[in-house]
Amino acid sequence: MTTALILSLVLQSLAYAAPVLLASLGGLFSERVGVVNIGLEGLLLVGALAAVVAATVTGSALLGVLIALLVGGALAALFALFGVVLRRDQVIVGTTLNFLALGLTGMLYRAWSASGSGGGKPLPPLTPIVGDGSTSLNALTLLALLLVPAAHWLLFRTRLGVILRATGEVPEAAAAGGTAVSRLRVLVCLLTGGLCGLGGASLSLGISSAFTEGMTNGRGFIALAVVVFGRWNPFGALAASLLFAAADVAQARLQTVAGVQNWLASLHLGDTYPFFLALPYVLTLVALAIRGSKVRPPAALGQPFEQG
Amino acid sequence: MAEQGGTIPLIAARGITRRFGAFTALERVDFAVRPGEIHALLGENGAGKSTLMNLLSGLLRPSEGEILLNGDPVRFRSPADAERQGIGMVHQHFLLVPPLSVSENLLLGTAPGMGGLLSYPIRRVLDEARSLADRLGWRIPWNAPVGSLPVGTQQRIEILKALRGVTRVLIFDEPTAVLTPTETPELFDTLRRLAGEGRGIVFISHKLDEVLALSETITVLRRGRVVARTRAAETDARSLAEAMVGPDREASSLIQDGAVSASRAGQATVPAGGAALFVENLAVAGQARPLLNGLSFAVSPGEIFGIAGVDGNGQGELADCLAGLIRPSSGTLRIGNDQPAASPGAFRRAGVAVIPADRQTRGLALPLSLTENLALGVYDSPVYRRGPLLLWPALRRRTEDLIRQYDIRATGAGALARSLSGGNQQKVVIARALAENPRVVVAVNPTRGLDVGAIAYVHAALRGAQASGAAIVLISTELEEVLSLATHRVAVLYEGAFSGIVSPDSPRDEIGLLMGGKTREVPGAAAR
Repeated sequence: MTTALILSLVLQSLAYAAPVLLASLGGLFSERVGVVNIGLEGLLLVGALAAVVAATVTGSALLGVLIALLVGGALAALFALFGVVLRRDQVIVGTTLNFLALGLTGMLYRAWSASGSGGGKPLPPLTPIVGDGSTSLNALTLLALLLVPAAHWLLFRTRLGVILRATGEVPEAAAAGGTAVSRLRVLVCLLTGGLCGLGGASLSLGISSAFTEGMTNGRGFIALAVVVFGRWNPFGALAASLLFAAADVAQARLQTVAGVQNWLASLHLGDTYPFFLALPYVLTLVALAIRGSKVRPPAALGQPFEQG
Repeated sequence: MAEQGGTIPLIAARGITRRFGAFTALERVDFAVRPGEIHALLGENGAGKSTLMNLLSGLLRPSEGEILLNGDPVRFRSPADAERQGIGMVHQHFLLVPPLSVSENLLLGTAPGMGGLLSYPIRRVLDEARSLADRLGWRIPWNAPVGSLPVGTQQRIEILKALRGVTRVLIFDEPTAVLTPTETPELFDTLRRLAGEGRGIVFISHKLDEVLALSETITVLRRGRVVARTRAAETDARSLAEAMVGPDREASSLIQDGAVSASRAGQATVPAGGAALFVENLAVAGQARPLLNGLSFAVSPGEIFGIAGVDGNGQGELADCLAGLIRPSSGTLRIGNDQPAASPGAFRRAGVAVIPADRQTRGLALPLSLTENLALGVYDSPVYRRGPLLLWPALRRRTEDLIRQYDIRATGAGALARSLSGGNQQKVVIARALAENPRVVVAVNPTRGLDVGAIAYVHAALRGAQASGAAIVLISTELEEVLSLATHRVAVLYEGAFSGIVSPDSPRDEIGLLMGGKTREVPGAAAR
């Protein structure tokens, strides 16, 4: 393989990792403060649509990204209202959020397309920061990568980080230290929504340059697995996201390799396309099964807190 | 308030009343701590000690009366507010974060004055804590996760958290409850040293010896009122116990007259009449060796059959068999003439009531109300059920009756089991077990973790049930308890079998030998 090919594979993997990484960083912060947000998938999807619509309408990819951030945060506020403030079961609220997002984005996108608003104008692309064409790095990917050390610093090298981690373990201890536990959890929910909004934008603007219904394809759930696989550590999440993304890129390339095609055809399995698509998910599942059994989640994960 | 010395109290409560709904937890209580004083607050579970401390430490606000800080009225908005004004609290249940290091735990508790949220003033926090620890002669592994440290060290970290420059008063909520015997004197040294530096120490306890050994002043609370205030030098354990428990204890609604004396009559003979509980060759298989091996005994109505032994010799398995929770590998179990299937429901219908060893996990559903907890086991009865619907008014009335009858201190039938003190939780468990006049009562370590008054209460309740004709199996690792309650016979469990069945009047050393596995057969005292 040539250096150019390797470089393009690496850069493509980084770009594919960005949506999962951003969502998993959001999930990681949520879980660190004791909130389990199953709704990452829905938040990603809403971000993806918001970015495409806003970027098309305004003609600015940057504005698209910013709107996606805000819309993700707004939807997450709904989650925070039910899951944290009203102390409903977070798994159920998150699941509801996913269905809501799936239905809502599909309906809105069809309505928007039908009204012709998207018809005329082109979707402005995310301009590469480094390189061009297939060997490039866009701003959202770079941001996702930079957020990893930033999140690590925040969690492990600041007072706020100590408070965040304590809130997810023993919220009573954090409250005794003067933390308004519910308010902190709500704020972190909004942060999670914002990060997922960015993740959605990195998917629709950065990778696909379009929105399609259900285009997240379970990446939000993969992000949840990535949080566990990464042991609630940002660098761990980065590693796990890259593993998933590399598998995703690899399967896309493998589909085009004649030798692999012929070998699979010789097995007489019928349509081989789904096997390729399943590869990154199966890999994530296996990785999680191997590693996930030994890790310990934050002690107060998913438990509502009532300030005494 | 001014009768003790001339110094102004660091903190004082004046005429404090605190109500929770219709329930008055504290009534017109006065309390004061002066510089250098160790002031013990003594009382049973539920006497109001914790409420008073929560008022002084800013967690609760008084319904009436006022709190004085250095002589001036003050109103704490929160524990953090009280802390800023010099009141530190060391809770019985530590508020530490186990996976975080010692230094991070200390950082968590620091005031925002130590720098913004994005700062990491760990060095300054550590410097302060280190100098304090040095002064107290402590060696603390600052970077180890708190959860990996012994309980005594964790408590020191709690003390370090509560102690900062401004702290003048330190409140300790039953600090010795979690400590080992060697850690307790070390804590007392610490408390004396802290008092010697001019701080006021409030020491909450229900252990009389500790209170007498450590404190200078003693305040006794009972049912939310101050019933005694004295200097430690001028009192003794007996009068403190009397103040704590109260003269009316023996008149408790549950104790039938004569039950206590009757229970000690006719030792060592098995009561006549058919057995209420009949066990023959009971065995439970284990992985390496049998957990229970060939147990045979029968318990008659009106008998308390004591089962002593060191923990882990089959007590849990025996209790589970008698409750129908596990099916014995072999052997016969009869309740009267019934041979119930191995299910808790079948055993309950046969007339077995259980007071389980762990009231918080097996005895109660903590997040549920008293009515719900007390409905367990009777919801099948046509009195409380119409078709598939429960008759809540009837259940609530029953709960209210039981609350009265068993003297359960709670805000009402709707109170959550979680909100009760340990002794009152146990009263709920006992009320549920005894309310339906069971034929057989299985009680496992029924007084574990309770204070003197609650222990006396539980013992009286068991004697009451015995006097009214229940056959009681008392499985307890407290030898004193077994010996004082067992009416005729005490069996000693050792490695799943009885190493002997003896009279409760047997010499202690003999029973001690049995507990150590020295088998001895007592003629005539064996089963049946």
